[in-house]
Amino acid sequence: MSNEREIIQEVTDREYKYGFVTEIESELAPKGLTEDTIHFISNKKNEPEWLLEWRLKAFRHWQTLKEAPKWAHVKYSEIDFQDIIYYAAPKKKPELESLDEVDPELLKMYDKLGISLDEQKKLSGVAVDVVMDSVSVKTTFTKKLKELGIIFCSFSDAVHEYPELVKQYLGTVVPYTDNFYATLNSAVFSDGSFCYIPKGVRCPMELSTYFRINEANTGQFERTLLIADEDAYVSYLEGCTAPMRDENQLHAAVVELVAHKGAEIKYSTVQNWYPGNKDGIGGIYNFVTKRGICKGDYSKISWTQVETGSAITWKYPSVILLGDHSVGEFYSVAVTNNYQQADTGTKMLHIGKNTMSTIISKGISGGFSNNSYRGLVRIGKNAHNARNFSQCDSLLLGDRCGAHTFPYIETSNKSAVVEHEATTSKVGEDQIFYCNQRGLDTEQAIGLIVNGYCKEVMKQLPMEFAVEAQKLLSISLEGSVG
Amino acid sequence: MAEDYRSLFEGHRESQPGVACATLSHARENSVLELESLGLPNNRLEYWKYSRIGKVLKGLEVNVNANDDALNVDLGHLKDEQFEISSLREAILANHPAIEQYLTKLAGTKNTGLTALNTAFFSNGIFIHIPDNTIVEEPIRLPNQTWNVDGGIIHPRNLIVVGKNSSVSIISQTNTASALINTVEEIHISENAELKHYVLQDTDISQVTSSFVVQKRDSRYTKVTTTLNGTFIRNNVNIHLEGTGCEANLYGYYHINNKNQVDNHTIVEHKEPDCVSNELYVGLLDDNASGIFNGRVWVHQDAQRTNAFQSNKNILLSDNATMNTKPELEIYADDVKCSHGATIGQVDQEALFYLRSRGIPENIAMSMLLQGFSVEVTDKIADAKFKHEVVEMILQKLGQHQ
Amino acid sequence: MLVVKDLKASVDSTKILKGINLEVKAGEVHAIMGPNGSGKSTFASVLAGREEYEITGGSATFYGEDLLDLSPEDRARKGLFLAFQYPIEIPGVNTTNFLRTSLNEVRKFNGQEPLNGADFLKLMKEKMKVIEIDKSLTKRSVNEGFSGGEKKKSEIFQMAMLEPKLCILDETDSGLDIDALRVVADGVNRLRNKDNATVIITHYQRLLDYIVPDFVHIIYDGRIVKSGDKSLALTLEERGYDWIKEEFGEMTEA
Repeated sequence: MSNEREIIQEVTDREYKYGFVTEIESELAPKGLTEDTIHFISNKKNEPEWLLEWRLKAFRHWQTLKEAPKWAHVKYSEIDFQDIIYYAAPKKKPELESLDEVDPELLKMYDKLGISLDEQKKLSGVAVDVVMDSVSVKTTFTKKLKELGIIFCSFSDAVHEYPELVKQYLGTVVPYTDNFYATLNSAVFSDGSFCYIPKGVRCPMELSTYFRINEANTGQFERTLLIADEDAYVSYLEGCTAPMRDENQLHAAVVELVAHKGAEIKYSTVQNWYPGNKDGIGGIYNFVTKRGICKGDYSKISWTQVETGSAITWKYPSVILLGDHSVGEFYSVAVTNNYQQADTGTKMLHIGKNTMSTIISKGISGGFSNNSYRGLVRIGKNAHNARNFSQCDSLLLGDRCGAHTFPYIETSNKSAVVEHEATTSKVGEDQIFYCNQRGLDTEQAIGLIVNGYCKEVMKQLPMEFAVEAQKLLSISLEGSVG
Repeated sequence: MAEDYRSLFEGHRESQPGVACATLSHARENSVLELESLGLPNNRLEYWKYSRIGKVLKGLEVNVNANDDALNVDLGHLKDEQFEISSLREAILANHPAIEQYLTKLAGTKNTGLTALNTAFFSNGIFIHIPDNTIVEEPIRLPNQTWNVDGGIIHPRNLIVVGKNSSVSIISQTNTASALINTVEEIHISENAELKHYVLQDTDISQVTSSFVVQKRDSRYTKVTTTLNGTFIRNNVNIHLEGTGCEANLYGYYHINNKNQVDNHTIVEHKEPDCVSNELYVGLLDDNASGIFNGRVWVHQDAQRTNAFQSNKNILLSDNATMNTKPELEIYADDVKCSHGATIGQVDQEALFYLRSRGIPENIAMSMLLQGFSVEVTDKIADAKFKHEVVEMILQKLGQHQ
Repeated sequence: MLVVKDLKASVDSTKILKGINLEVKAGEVHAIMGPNGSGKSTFASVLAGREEYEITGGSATFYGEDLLDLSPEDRARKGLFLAFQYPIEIPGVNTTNFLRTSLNEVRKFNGQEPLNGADFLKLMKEKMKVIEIDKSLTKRSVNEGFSGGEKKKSEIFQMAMLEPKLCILDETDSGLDIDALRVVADGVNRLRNKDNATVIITHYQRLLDYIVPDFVHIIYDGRIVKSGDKSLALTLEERGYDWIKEEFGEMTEA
């Protein structure tokens, strides 16, 4: 197993197979977005013609969309899409010799969390695909996975090595016309991960990708495509950290999951990007489109997310339950503090018969933040015996924050059973007092209480993530109560 | 429909009641401006999502029913020395102080162009004023109202003012015939007063009723709406809790069929601390009927110690019926207890089996359970006589005769 | 009255009853005992006509007529009564109204005139006295907010009202304190006569001190593995169920 120095070395020394990264230092696209930008990106990545065409189609569609959607319960000044650099390859930093030089911000955060990259890998044989800025630069364990027929590589590599698979699935779950940011992503996506689990294969390890953003003024547009063929199983982890930045950065990723007959995909995310400072300056704009389709009968897709970072989060991991007896799950913890805004939730679209979905959402708001759950449960006309259960709870930690719930429930089948419950309450003063009396300070007490509050979701996380996520909750809530 | 509201308004303003009242004229002027910018609703607007309003409004003209005798309602038998009741027109022409104080003051126009339309063009409706310290024992049952107009959109306007420490029950039934009845009612409940408000909707009409209720300190408002028929029924209830210690209870039962639509939209705005609100809407959708529930509980930052509860339960009785529900919580205060729930499902199969195992045939067992579903709401009707009437109607609708 | 032959039933393709044989005659009291998961309650549910269970073999006749072919309501009208282990709460459905509908349906089926309101209330008062049930219970929704004891008493009260031929008591004694148990047992005893029969399904011997059975059957792994008189129940009380498990082999718990 490599330690991070080796990774970094590999990262920096790597000769790109397709040779498109020759002058690493200046691999920035010119600011702004025109058809030329698309050509530039596609050309840099040496992409086949069909992909360029697809990007251009998306771009042309994007031009017809007048403005970014406004329905979410978030406020921010308008984004100048012409003031963004749409492509940045990592800079070569030969001076990186020792651990401290790797990325102090990253290390500091890991330090607080009590883990390092090194440990994370040792923890459990996690295969890590580190994406720095926009180009995937390191893939480990590829060989071992290859033996099982599992493909796990950067999106760019997949385009070259498995063009048929990419062509077959790209945009089938999130079409390029889906929404403003998904369209933008389709036009300019830089890189991301690609994963294919063949028929009947259970992926023996948690697949994992760590993202971070380290180039100022760089929008990041990941694209992830994950396919589980019949009776396959995969658990995929996605974790994000970002160092401090003063300027807002846009992140508009797209994740597409396809589960064939009998397949199961478990997708877990811990998101702790820079949320801005305590006055609400800076931070990431996280406008993500994540969607999976349970294409075959008896398939299952489960989303778990712990969202603590970003200045603004706009994210609705969804499941299209097309196959009969398919199952969709959404487990979410969203923490907002200071001036953070989160508008997150899910969509469960029941189309097949005997489909089942579960939604468990825990929102925690402190400081001056606003935290909204927005969800849609739709039972189609032919979704006989569909079942949904939703539980959306909000916890308020201060008197200047907001907690909101916007569930949409649409039912057109009489055999469906849909149940939605939601509560909003304040953190229990008597609980805090009890902890105080036992020698814990208020911040510790809140950390403890909040972790308990979120237990139902946290236990869905793979072990490797659970520890980090728990600490993250406590860290995110620092200073939430006056 | 691109009505020229301005010229329509100018053409009729002189014949509208209260043209001499500066406040009223000013409000009407503003409404025309609002109407011009808002236009009439369509279902692309979030507030009208899933609604058939677009189809309902198609080709309809605004009926300017400004004549003296447009409203046909006999209130004579309700006259009472305890309180005042009259047509709104009479109250306006008599310069009743409550008109100046409350009329058009309670209704917000921001939500929908239909309220603005009403404000610009209303000519009549019902006015009830309960003075301070008055306990009205018997419920005031409003008689049938009919409007002498042919089709189009008409604009009844009601104003109800309940004085301090007073208590009253009001029963109203909608049965006016027109293409679309666009009613706006404004209700002011003073300090420590109580209003029990029962509404029965059982005629085959299209209507939008927008109620604006302002509650002062320690006041209580209970509304029970029963909808058993109606081509297109939209009930907007907007509660403003403007004093501490208020209680607002909104209950609704609906059972509709054919291609009809029932749509209950409630907004409960907790603006002050220590208030309580309860909402329970339950209903049955049969045939090709569609139901909509949208409940919004909005707790302002200063409304500490708010207790808000909201629930919407539905049963679909047919393969072609649909229900869209959206219970919303928007909370900016921290010391609150708020919860909401929504269910869509069927009759409890265990309960059905239990009844059948006692010899009750399936269809009757089903009716019993469905009627049981409504009890939580009808139990909130405190007036025994009216409650009995409503329960009988519900049973009849369920096809159960005892 | 009731003849059950080699009755087999499963739920979601799990076999639960694996061939039950039982004959109940008028005037008799049978106790069916067995460990948890042995199929006792399933047997009761199948007799009452619960639809989740799939009958995979065998027969059950009631007065010579195929019981398994009848709807749950027709079984009830013919005189089969199940006192539920967990009587369900039915909010909004008034107990008095429910009982009256039920009684009149049973009467109608048997060619009797329906009872008018006054006669019904009189009958109800009478039976309430027999069962020592609180009057307020009949004013509430069916079983709603009843305590465990109240629910069980209410079941026996309903039985008294409907005067069934075959009463099946499904774990009516579980969760009852001794006073409530006595009340329930007294009620059952008072309702007994030479024309009706009682099947008591129970885990414990306790209830049988109060309602003395003519026959005791032990059900295990979906079969009646042993039958005897009331002394069998005492043996069970003494020795527990383990010897049954040993004696009747490596059978898996259903």
